[in-house]
Amino acid sequence: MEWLIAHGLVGRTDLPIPEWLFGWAAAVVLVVSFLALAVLWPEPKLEGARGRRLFRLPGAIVVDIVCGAVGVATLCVVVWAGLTGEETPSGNFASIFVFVTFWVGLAFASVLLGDIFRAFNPWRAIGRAVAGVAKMIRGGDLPAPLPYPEWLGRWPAAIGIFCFAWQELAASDGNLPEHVAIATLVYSAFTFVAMALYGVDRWIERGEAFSVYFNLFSRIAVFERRGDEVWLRKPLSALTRLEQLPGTVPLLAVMIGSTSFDGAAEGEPWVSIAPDLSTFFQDHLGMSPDGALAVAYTIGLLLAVLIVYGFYWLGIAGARTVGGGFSHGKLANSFVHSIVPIAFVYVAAHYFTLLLFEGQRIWPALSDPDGTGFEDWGVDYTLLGANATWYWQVGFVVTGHVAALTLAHDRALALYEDAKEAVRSQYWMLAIMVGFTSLALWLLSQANQ
Amino acid sequence: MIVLAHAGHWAVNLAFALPAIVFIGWLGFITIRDRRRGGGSDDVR
Repeated sequence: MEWLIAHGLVGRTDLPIPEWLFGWAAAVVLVVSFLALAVLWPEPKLEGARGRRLFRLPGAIVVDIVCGAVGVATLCVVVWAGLTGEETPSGNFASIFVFVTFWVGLAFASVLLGDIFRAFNPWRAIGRAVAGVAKMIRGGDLPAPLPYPEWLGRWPAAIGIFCFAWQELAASDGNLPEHVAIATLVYSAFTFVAMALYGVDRWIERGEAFSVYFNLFSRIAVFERRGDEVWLRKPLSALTRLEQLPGTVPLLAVMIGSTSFDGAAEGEPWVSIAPDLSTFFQDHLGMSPDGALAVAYTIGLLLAVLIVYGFYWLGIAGARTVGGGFSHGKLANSFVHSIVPIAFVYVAAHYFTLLLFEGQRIWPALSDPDGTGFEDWGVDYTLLGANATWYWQVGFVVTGHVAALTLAHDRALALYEDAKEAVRSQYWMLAIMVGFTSLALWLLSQANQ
Repeated sequence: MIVLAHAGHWAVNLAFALPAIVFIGWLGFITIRDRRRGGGSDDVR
Protein backbone atom coordinates (compact mmCIF):
# COMPACT_ATOMS: atom_id res chain seq x y z
CA MET A 1 0.00 0.00 0.00
CA GLU A 2 2.92 2.29 0.81
CA TRP A 3 4.02 1.81 -2.80
CA LEU A 4 0.65 2.76 -4.23
CA ILE A 5 0.57 5.96 -2.22
CA ALA A 6 4.05 6.78 -3.47
CA HIS A 7 2.72 6.96 -7.04
CA GLY A 8 0.73 10.03 -6.17
CA LEU A 9 3.16 11.74 -3.87
CA VAL A 10 2.70 15.21 -5.25
CA GLY A 11 0.58 16.84 -2.58
CA ARG A 12 -2.27 19.28 -3.00
CA THR A 13 -1.55 22.00 -5.51
CA ASP A 14 -2.28 25.69 -4.97
CA LEU A 15 -2.58 26.86 -8.57
CA PRO A 16 -3.57 30.33 -9.83
CA ILE A 17 -6.29 28.81 -12.07
CA PRO A 18 -8.37 25.61 -11.72
CA GLU A 19 -6.78 22.42 -13.04
CA TRP A 20 -9.55 21.89 -15.62
CA LEU A 21 -8.68 25.25 -17.17
CA PHE A 22 -5.23 23.84 -17.93
CA GLY A 23 -7.08 21.14 -19.89
CA TRP A 24 -8.89 23.79 -21.93
CA ALA A 25 -5.64 25.67 -22.53
CA ALA A 26 -3.96 22.43 -23.63
CA ALA A 27 -6.83 21.81 -26.10
CA VAL A 28 -6.31 25.32 -27.51
CA VAL A 29 -2.57 24.63 -27.91
CA LEU A 30 -3.40 21.48 -29.87
CA VAL A 31 -5.87 23.27 -32.15
CA VAL A 32 -3.34 26.05 -32.83
CA SER A 33 -0.63 23.41 -33.51
CA PHE A 34 -3.01 21.67 -35.89
CA LEU A 35 -3.62 24.89 -37.82
CA ALA A 36 0.09 25.66 -37.90
CA LEU A 37 0.85 22.18 -39.26
CA ALA A 38 -1.83 22.53 -41.94
CA VAL A 39 -0.31 25.81 -43.13
CA LEU A 40 3.43 25.38 -42.53
CA TRP A 41 3.96 21.62 -43.07
CA PRO A 42 2.71 20.97 -46.64
CA GLU A 43 4.67 17.79 -47.37
CA PRO A 44 6.01 14.81 -45.39
CA LYS A 45 9.25 15.61 -43.57
CA LEU A 46 9.59 12.68 -41.17
CA GLU A 47 8.61 9.85 -43.52
CA GLY A 48 11.75 8.36 -45.02
CA ALA A 49 14.14 10.67 -43.11
CA ARG A 50 17.46 8.82 -42.89
CA GLY A 51 19.65 10.83 -40.53
CA ARG A 52 23.42 11.02 -40.61
CA ARG A 53 26.30 8.98 -39.24
CA LEU A 54 27.83 10.45 -36.09
CA PHE A 55 30.73 8.13 -35.26
CA ARG A 56 31.89 4.55 -35.31
CA LEU A 57 31.51 2.83 -31.92
CA PRO A 58 34.98 1.59 -30.98
CA GLY A 59 34.96 -2.02 -29.73
CA ALA A 60 31.25 -2.54 -30.42
CA ILE A 61 31.46 -6.28 -29.63
CA VAL A 62 33.16 -5.58 -26.30
CA VAL A 63 30.49 -2.98 -25.48
CA ASP A 64 27.79 -5.56 -26.27
CA ILE A 65 29.42 -8.20 -24.09
CA VAL A 66 29.96 -5.83 -21.15
CA CYS A 67 26.43 -4.38 -21.32
CA GLY A 68 24.92 -7.87 -21.67
CA ALA A 69 26.92 -9.06 -18.65
CA VAL A 70 25.68 -6.08 -16.61
CA GLY A 71 22.10 -6.95 -17.64
CA VAL A 72 22.49 -10.62 -16.67
CA ALA A 73 24.11 -9.69 -13.33
CA THR A 74 21.24 -7.30 -12.58
CA LEU A 75 18.69 -10.00 -13.41
CA CYS A 76 20.45 -12.38 -11.01
CA VAL A 77 20.54 -9.77 -8.22
CA VAL A 78 16.80 -9.05 -8.71
CA VAL A 79 15.96 -12.75 -8.31
CA TRP A 80 18.36 -13.33 -5.40
CA ALA A 81 17.33 -10.17 -3.49
CA GLY A 82 13.64 -10.86 -4.12
CA LEU A 83 13.77 -14.45 -2.90
CA THR A 84 16.06 -14.01 0.10
CA GLY A 85 15.89 -10.37 1.17
CA GLU A 86 13.79 -7.84 3.06
CA GLU A 87 10.06 -8.28 2.45
CA THR A 88 9.20 -4.57 2.31
CA PRO A 89 9.09 -3.41 -1.33
CA SER A 90 10.71 -0.06 -0.53
CA GLY A 91 13.60 -1.83 1.23
CA ASN A 92 14.49 -4.39 -1.40
CA PHE A 93 16.47 -3.91 -4.61
CA ALA A 94 14.12 -6.23 -6.57
CA SER A 95 10.97 -4.11 -6.22
CA ILE A 96 12.75 -0.75 -6.42
CA PHE A 97 14.72 -1.70 -9.50
CA VAL A 98 11.90 -3.39 -11.41
CA PHE A 99 9.10 -0.86 -10.77
CA VAL A 100 11.11 2.37 -10.65
CA THR A 101 14.54 2.19 -12.28
CA PHE A 102 13.66 -0.33 -14.98
CA TRP A 103 10.00 0.38 -15.77
CA VAL A 104 10.10 4.18 -15.50
CA GLY A 105 13.78 5.15 -15.60
CA LEU A 106 14.52 3.13 -18.71
CA ALA A 107 11.52 4.68 -20.50
CA PHE A 108 13.06 8.15 -19.98
CA ALA A 109 16.53 6.85 -20.92
CA SER A 110 15.17 5.29 -24.12
CA VAL A 111 13.61 8.57 -25.22
CA LEU A 112 16.82 10.47 -24.47
CA LEU A 113 19.47 8.02 -25.66
CA GLY A 114 17.78 5.50 -27.97
CA ASP A 115 17.36 1.75 -27.67
CA ILE A 116 19.82 1.14 -24.84
CA PHE A 117 17.80 -1.74 -23.40
CA ARG A 118 18.74 -3.82 -26.44
CA ALA A 119 22.37 -3.77 -25.27
CA PHE A 120 21.53 -4.53 -21.62
CA ASN A 121 18.71 -7.02 -22.29
CA PRO A 122 19.69 -10.06 -20.14
CA TRP A 123 17.46 -12.51 -22.03
CA ARG A 124 18.98 -11.49 -25.37
CA ALA A 125 22.49 -11.71 -23.92
CA ILE A 126 21.89 -15.20 -22.51
CA GLY A 127 20.15 -16.35 -25.72
CA ARG A 128 23.03 -15.18 -27.90
CA ALA A 129 25.65 -16.65 -25.56
CA VAL A 130 23.90 -20.04 -25.44
CA ALA A 131 23.50 -20.04 -29.23
CA GLY A 132 27.21 -19.21 -29.63
CA VAL A 133 28.30 -22.02 -27.30
CA ALA A 134 25.91 -24.49 -28.99
CA LYS A 135 27.39 -23.60 -32.38
CA MET A 136 30.91 -24.21 -31.07
CA ILE A 137 29.97 -27.59 -29.60
CA ARG A 138 28.10 -28.62 -32.73
CA GLY A 139 30.85 -27.34 -34.97
CA GLY A 140 28.45 -25.67 -37.39
CA ASP A 141 25.20 -23.78 -37.80
CA LEU A 142 22.24 -24.58 -35.57
CA PRO A 143 18.94 -25.79 -37.08
CA ALA A 144 16.87 -22.89 -38.42
CA PRO A 145 14.24 -21.63 -35.95
CA LEU A 146 10.53 -21.96 -36.69
CA PRO A 147 9.09 -19.19 -38.87
CA TYR A 148 7.49 -16.55 -36.65
CA PRO A 149 3.74 -16.56 -37.46
CA GLU A 150 2.72 -13.29 -39.15
CA TRP A 151 -0.60 -13.20 -37.31
CA LEU A 152 1.25 -13.20 -33.97
CA GLY A 153 2.83 -9.80 -34.69
CA ARG A 154 3.26 -7.84 -31.45
CA TRP A 155 0.51 -9.74 -29.61
CA PRO A 156 2.95 -11.52 -27.22
CA ALA A 157 4.37 -8.11 -26.26
CA ALA A 158 0.86 -6.72 -25.67
CA ILE A 159 0.00 -9.66 -23.42
CA GLY A 160 3.36 -9.45 -21.64
CA ILE A 161 2.96 -5.75 -20.84
CA PHE A 162 -0.60 -6.37 -19.68
CA CYS A 163 0.64 -9.11 -17.32
CA PHE A 164 3.33 -6.78 -15.94
CA ALA A 165 0.75 -4.01 -15.39
CA TRP A 166 -1.60 -6.54 -13.79
CA GLN A 167 1.10 -7.63 -11.34
CA GLU A 168 1.89 -4.00 -10.47
CA LEU A 169 -1.67 -2.66 -10.26
CA ALA A 170 -4.13 -5.48 -9.67
CA ALA A 171 -2.47 -8.57 -8.19
CA SER A 172 -2.63 -9.04 -4.47
CA ASP A 173 0.79 -7.99 -3.10
CA GLY A 174 2.20 -8.05 -6.64
CA ASN A 175 4.93 -5.61 -5.66
CA LEU A 176 6.34 -7.82 -2.87
CA PRO A 177 9.98 -8.64 -3.66
CA GLU A 178 9.38 -12.39 -3.50
CA HIS A 179 6.52 -12.14 -6.01
CA VAL A 180 8.65 -9.92 -8.25
CA ALA A 181 11.44 -12.52 -8.21
CA ILE A 182 9.06 -15.40 -8.99
CA ALA A 183 7.45 -13.45 -11.85
CA THR A 184 10.94 -12.68 -13.19
CA LEU A 185 11.87 -16.37 -13.16
CA VAL A 186 8.62 -17.42 -14.86
CA TYR A 187 8.97 -14.71 -17.52
CA SER A 188 12.64 -15.62 -18.10
CA ALA A 189 11.78 -19.30 -18.60
CA PHE A 190 9.00 -18.40 -21.04
CA THR A 191 11.32 -16.06 -22.96
CA PHE A 192 14.07 -18.72 -23.26
CA VAL A 193 11.59 -21.25 -24.68
CA ALA A 194 10.19 -18.69 -27.14
CA MET A 195 13.71 -17.67 -28.26
CA ALA A 196 14.64 -21.34 -28.76
CA LEU A 197 11.56 -21.81 -30.95
CA TYR A 198 11.56 -18.63 -33.03
CA GLY A 199 15.15 -17.45 -32.80
CA VAL A 200 16.72 -14.89 -30.47
CA ASP A 201 16.56 -11.85 -32.75
CA ARG A 202 13.05 -12.45 -34.08
CA TRP A 203 11.56 -12.98 -30.61
CA ILE A 204 13.38 -9.97 -29.16
CA GLU A 205 12.19 -7.81 -32.04
CA ARG A 206 8.50 -8.79 -31.92
CA GLY A 207 7.57 -10.95 -28.94
CA GLU A 208 9.70 -10.01 -25.93
CA ALA A 209 7.49 -7.53 -24.14
CA PHE A 210 10.11 -5.18 -22.68
CA SER A 211 12.26 -5.09 -25.81
CA VAL A 212 9.24 -4.07 -27.86
CA TYR A 213 8.07 -1.60 -25.19
CA PHE A 214 11.39 0.24 -24.83
CA ASN A 215 12.08 0.05 -28.56
CA LEU A 216 8.86 1.95 -29.24
CA PHE A 217 9.95 4.75 -26.90
CA SER A 218 13.49 4.75 -28.29
CA ARG A 219 12.07 5.65 -31.72
CA ILE A 220 11.33 9.12 -30.32
CA ALA A 221 15.07 9.62 -29.68
CA VAL A 222 17.55 11.33 -31.98
CA PHE A 223 20.22 8.64 -31.50
CA GLU A 224 20.27 5.29 -33.22
CA ARG A 225 22.78 2.48 -33.35
CA ARG A 226 23.20 0.80 -36.72
CA GLY A 227 25.65 -2.07 -36.50
CA ASP A 228 28.81 -0.60 -35.01
CA GLU A 229 27.88 2.99 -35.89
CA VAL A 230 25.94 5.65 -34.01
CA TRP A 231 23.60 7.79 -36.10
CA LEU A 232 21.80 11.07 -35.53
CA ARG A 233 18.25 11.31 -36.85
CA LYS A 234 15.28 13.67 -36.66
CA PRO A 235 13.33 13.22 -33.43
CA LEU A 236 10.26 10.98 -33.94
CA SER A 237 11.38 10.01 -37.45
CA ALA A 238 12.12 6.38 -36.52
CA LEU A 239 8.46 5.94 -35.57
CA THR A 240 7.51 6.39 -39.23
CA ARG A 241 9.57 3.25 -39.95
CA LEU A 242 7.60 1.18 -37.44
CA GLU A 243 6.56 -2.04 -39.14
CA GLN A 244 2.76 -2.38 -39.27
CA LEU A 245 2.13 -5.66 -37.48
CA PRO A 246 -0.91 -7.28 -35.85
CA GLY A 247 -1.18 -6.54 -32.14
CA THR A 248 0.38 -3.07 -32.30
CA VAL A 249 -2.85 -1.17 -31.61
CA PRO A 250 -3.71 -3.46 -28.65
CA LEU A 251 -0.14 -3.01 -27.35
CA LEU A 252 -0.49 0.79 -27.38
CA ALA A 253 -3.95 0.49 -25.79
CA VAL A 254 -2.41 -1.62 -23.00
CA MET A 255 0.41 0.89 -22.52
CA ILE A 256 -1.89 3.92 -22.28
CA GLY A 257 -4.77 2.09 -20.58
CA SER A 258 -2.65 0.64 -17.78
CA THR A 259 -1.14 4.03 -16.91
CA SER A 260 -4.62 5.57 -17.10
CA PHE A 261 -5.98 2.98 -14.72
CA ASP A 262 -3.14 3.58 -12.29
CA GLY A 263 -4.11 7.26 -12.25
CA ALA A 264 -7.85 6.59 -12.10
CA ALA A 265 -7.39 4.11 -9.25
CA GLU A 266 -6.24 7.00 -7.06
CA GLY A 267 -9.29 9.11 -7.93
CA GLU A 268 -12.65 9.45 -6.26
CA PRO A 269 -14.81 7.60 -8.87
CA TRP A 270 -12.81 4.36 -8.69
CA VAL A 271 -12.19 4.61 -4.95
CA SER A 272 -15.96 4.70 -4.44
CA ILE A 273 -16.69 1.84 -6.89
CA ALA A 274 -13.90 -0.64 -6.05
CA PRO A 275 -15.05 -1.59 -2.51
CA ASP A 276 -18.62 -2.27 -3.74
CA LEU A 277 -17.29 -4.40 -6.57
CA SER A 278 -15.04 -6.27 -4.18
CA THR A 279 -17.89 -6.86 -1.70
CA PHE A 280 -20.03 -8.20 -4.55
CA PHE A 281 -17.41 -10.84 -5.41
CA GLN A 282 -17.02 -11.78 -1.75
CA ASP A 283 -20.77 -12.10 -1.17
CA HIS A 284 -21.77 -13.80 -4.41
CA LEU A 285 -18.70 -15.85 -5.32
CA GLY A 286 -17.36 -16.54 -1.83
CA MET A 287 -13.98 -15.03 -2.63
CA SER A 288 -11.44 -13.91 -0.05
CA PRO A 289 -11.15 -10.11 0.47
CA ASP A 290 -7.72 -10.04 -1.22
CA GLY A 291 -8.88 -12.17 -4.14
CA ALA A 292 -12.06 -10.14 -4.60
CA LEU A 293 -10.12 -6.87 -4.61
CA ALA A 294 -7.67 -8.29 -7.18
CA VAL A 295 -10.59 -9.31 -9.42
CA ALA A 296 -12.14 -5.85 -9.07
CA TYR A 297 -8.84 -4.19 -10.02
CA THR A 298 -8.37 -6.62 -12.92
CA ILE A 299 -11.79 -5.60 -14.26
CA GLY A 300 -10.85 -1.93 -13.84
CA LEU A 301 -7.56 -2.46 -15.67
CA LEU A 302 -9.25 -4.32 -18.54
CA LEU A 303 -11.91 -1.62 -18.80
CA ALA A 304 -9.30 1.13 -19.00
CA VAL A 305 -7.50 -0.70 -21.82
CA LEU A 306 -10.77 -1.29 -23.69
CA ILE A 307 -11.80 2.37 -23.32
CA VAL A 308 -8.49 3.56 -24.80
CA TYR A 309 -8.76 0.95 -27.58
CA GLY A 310 -12.35 2.00 -28.33
CA PHE A 311 -11.47 5.69 -28.32
CA TYR A 312 -8.70 5.14 -30.87
CA TRP A 313 -11.05 3.17 -33.10
CA LEU A 314 -13.66 5.92 -32.81
CA GLY A 315 -11.09 8.37 -34.20
CA ILE A 316 -10.14 5.94 -36.98
CA ALA A 317 -13.81 5.38 -37.89
CA GLY A 318 -14.20 9.15 -38.06
CA ALA A 319 -11.07 9.60 -40.19
CA ARG A 320 -12.41 6.98 -42.62
CA THR A 321 -15.54 9.06 -43.29
CA VAL A 322 -13.52 11.80 -44.99
CA GLY A 323 -12.72 9.53 -47.94
CA GLY A 324 -9.54 8.12 -49.40
CA GLY A 325 -11.05 4.64 -49.56
CA PHE A 326 -8.92 3.07 -46.83
CA SER A 327 -10.17 0.21 -44.66
CA HIS A 328 -10.44 0.62 -40.89
CA GLY A 329 -7.52 -1.77 -40.39
CA LYS A 330 -5.30 0.06 -42.86
CA LEU A 331 -5.97 3.42 -41.21
CA ALA A 332 -5.60 2.04 -37.67
CA ASN A 333 -2.20 0.52 -38.49
CA SER A 334 -1.07 3.56 -40.47
CA PHE A 335 -1.60 5.99 -37.60
CA VAL A 336 -0.77 3.81 -34.60
CA HIS A 337 2.85 5.05 -34.53
CA SER A 338 1.53 8.54 -33.77
CA ILE A 339 0.23 7.53 -30.35
CA VAL A 340 3.61 6.26 -29.12
CA PRO A 341 4.57 9.76 -27.82
CA ILE A 342 1.23 9.83 -26.00
CA ALA A 343 2.03 6.51 -24.33
CA PHE A 344 5.37 7.93 -23.25
CA VAL A 345 4.01 11.18 -21.83
CA TYR A 346 1.36 9.25 -19.91
CA VAL A 347 4.23 7.34 -18.26
CA ALA A 348 6.36 10.48 -17.87
CA ALA A 349 3.63 12.64 -16.35
CA HIS A 350 2.22 9.96 -14.09
CA TYR A 351 5.45 8.36 -12.82
CA PHE A 352 7.72 11.41 -12.93
CA THR A 353 7.54 11.90 -9.17
CA LEU A 354 7.88 8.16 -8.54
CA LEU A 355 11.21 8.21 -10.39
CA LEU A 356 12.33 11.44 -8.77
CA PHE A 357 11.49 10.44 -5.20
CA GLU A 358 11.34 6.65 -4.91
CA GLY A 359 14.17 6.37 -7.44
CA GLN A 360 16.49 7.77 -4.76
CA ARG A 361 16.21 4.44 -2.94
CA ILE A 362 18.13 2.65 -5.70
CA TRP A 363 21.46 4.02 -4.37
CA PRO A 364 21.23 2.54 -0.85
CA ALA A 365 19.58 -0.56 -2.40
CA LEU A 366 22.62 -1.05 -4.64
CA SER A 367 24.92 -1.28 -1.64
CA ASP A 368 22.47 -3.47 0.29
CA PRO A 369 20.40 -5.31 -2.38
CA ASP A 370 18.55 -7.72 -0.09
CA GLY A 371 17.87 -4.98 2.46
CA THR A 372 19.32 -6.88 5.45
CA GLY A 373 20.47 -3.57 6.95
CA PHE A 374 17.25 -1.84 5.93
CA GLU A 375 15.71 0.52 8.43
CA ASP A 376 14.36 3.45 6.53
CA TRP A 377 16.26 4.67 3.52
CA GLY A 378 15.61 8.37 3.53
CA VAL A 379 13.97 10.07 0.56
CA ASP A 380 14.23 13.81 -0.07
CA TYR A 381 10.68 14.84 -0.96
CA THR A 382 11.63 18.52 -1.22
CA LEU A 383 13.25 18.14 -4.65
CA LEU A 384 10.10 19.31 -6.40
CA GLY A 385 7.03 21.08 -5.03
CA ALA A 386 3.41 20.26 -5.84
CA ASN A 387 2.87 23.20 -8.21
CA ALA A 388 6.14 22.62 -10.05
CA THR A 389 5.19 18.96 -10.45
CA TRP A 390 1.85 19.94 -11.99
CA TYR A 391 3.53 22.31 -14.47
CA TRP A 392 5.99 19.60 -15.47
CA GLN A 393 3.13 17.15 -15.92
CA VAL A 394 1.14 19.58 -18.09
CA GLY A 395 4.30 20.28 -20.10
CA PHE A 396 4.87 16.56 -20.72
CA VAL A 397 1.25 15.99 -21.73
CA VAL A 398 1.04 18.93 -24.14
CA THR A 399 4.45 18.26 -25.74
CA GLY A 400 3.64 14.59 -26.26
CA HIS A 401 0.30 15.31 -27.87
CA VAL A 402 1.73 17.96 -30.20
CA ALA A 403 4.37 15.39 -31.21
CA ALA A 404 1.60 12.87 -31.86
CA LEU A 405 -0.31 15.38 -33.94
CA THR A 406 2.83 16.11 -35.99
CA LEU A 407 3.43 12.42 -36.69
CA ALA A 408 -0.19 11.87 -37.72
CA HIS A 409 -0.14 14.94 -39.97
CA ASP A 410 3.10 13.79 -41.62
CA ARG A 411 1.67 10.31 -42.23
CA ALA A 412 -1.61 11.71 -43.62
CA LEU A 413 0.31 13.77 -46.18
CA ALA A 414 2.11 10.62 -47.32
CA LEU A 415 -1.03 8.45 -47.28
CA TYR A 416 -3.69 10.58 -48.95
CA GLU A 417 -3.41 11.60 -52.58
CA ASP A 418 -5.49 14.70 -51.94
CA ALA A 419 -3.92 17.21 -49.48
CA LYS A 420 -7.39 18.48 -48.53
CA GLU A 421 -8.48 14.95 -47.58
CA ALA A 422 -5.26 14.53 -45.60
CA VAL A 423 -6.00 17.61 -43.50
CA ARG A 424 -9.68 16.67 -43.06
CA SER A 425 -8.72 13.17 -41.87
CA GLN A 426 -6.66 14.89 -39.21
CA TYR A 427 -9.71 16.58 -37.69
CA TRP A 428 -10.42 13.17 -36.19
CA MET A 429 -6.85 12.57 -35.07
CA LEU A 430 -7.01 16.01 -33.43
CA ALA A 431 -10.18 14.88 -31.64
CA ILE A 432 -8.30 11.81 -30.36
CA MET A 433 -5.41 13.97 -29.16
CA VAL A 434 -7.74 16.43 -27.42
CA GLY A 435 -9.52 13.47 -25.77
CA PHE A 436 -6.28 11.87 -24.59
CA THR A 437 -5.03 15.25 -23.32
CA SER A 438 -8.20 15.83 -21.33
CA LEU A 439 -8.03 12.30 -19.94
CA ALA A 440 -4.37 12.67 -18.95
CA LEU A 441 -4.91 15.95 -17.11
CA TRP A 442 -8.05 14.66 -15.40
CA LEU A 443 -6.17 11.56 -14.20
CA LEU A 444 -3.30 13.68 -12.91
CA SER A 445 -5.69 16.01 -11.13
CA GLN A 446 -7.27 12.97 -9.46
CA ALA A 447 -3.87 11.81 -8.22
CA ASN A 448 -3.15 15.28 -6.86
CA GLN A 449 -6.23 15.33 -4.63
CA MET B 1 -30.17 13.15 -4.28
CA ILE B 2 -26.61 12.00 -3.69
CA VAL B 3 -25.88 12.64 -7.35
CA LEU B 4 -27.28 16.18 -7.04
CA ALA B 5 -25.42 16.85 -3.79
CA HIS B 6 -22.19 15.91 -5.55
CA ALA B 7 -23.01 17.95 -8.63
CA GLY B 8 -20.08 20.30 -8.02
CA HIS B 9 -17.74 17.33 -8.00
CA TRP B 10 -19.10 15.89 -11.23
CA ALA B 11 -19.21 19.32 -12.88
CA VAL B 12 -15.47 19.74 -12.30
CA ASN B 13 -14.80 16.28 -13.77
CA LEU B 14 -17.05 17.12 -16.71
CA ALA B 15 -15.17 20.38 -17.26
CA PHE B 16 -12.06 18.32 -18.12
CA ALA B 17 -13.97 16.40 -20.79
CA LEU B 18 -15.73 19.43 -22.27
CA PRO B 19 -13.16 20.27 -25.01
CA ALA B 20 -13.20 16.67 -26.27
CA ILE B 21 -17.01 16.46 -26.09
CA VAL B 22 -17.47 19.75 -27.97
CA PHE B 23 -14.90 18.80 -30.59
CA ILE B 24 -16.22 15.29 -31.22
CA GLY B 25 -19.79 16.63 -31.24
CA TRP B 26 -18.84 19.17 -33.89
CA LEU B 27 -17.06 16.53 -35.98
CA GLY B 28 -20.05 14.20 -35.70
CA PHE B 29 -22.32 17.03 -36.82
CA ILE B 30 -20.29 17.92 -39.93
CA THR B 31 -19.85 14.23 -40.79
CA ILE B 32 -23.61 13.63 -40.72
CA ARG B 33 -24.21 16.85 -42.65
CA ASP B 34 -21.70 15.81 -45.34
CA ARG B 35 -23.26 12.35 -45.58
CA ARG B 36 -26.69 13.88 -46.16
CA ARG B 37 -25.20 16.02 -48.91
CA GLY B 38 -23.83 12.83 -50.51
CA GLY B 39 -20.16 13.26 -49.53
CA GLY B 40 -17.82 10.63 -48.07
CA SER B 41 -16.68 7.36 -49.57
CA ASP B 42 -17.15 3.71 -48.77
CA ASP B 43 -14.72 2.33 -51.35
CA VAL B 44 -12.16 0.24 -49.55
CA ARG B 45 -8.53 -0.11 -50.59
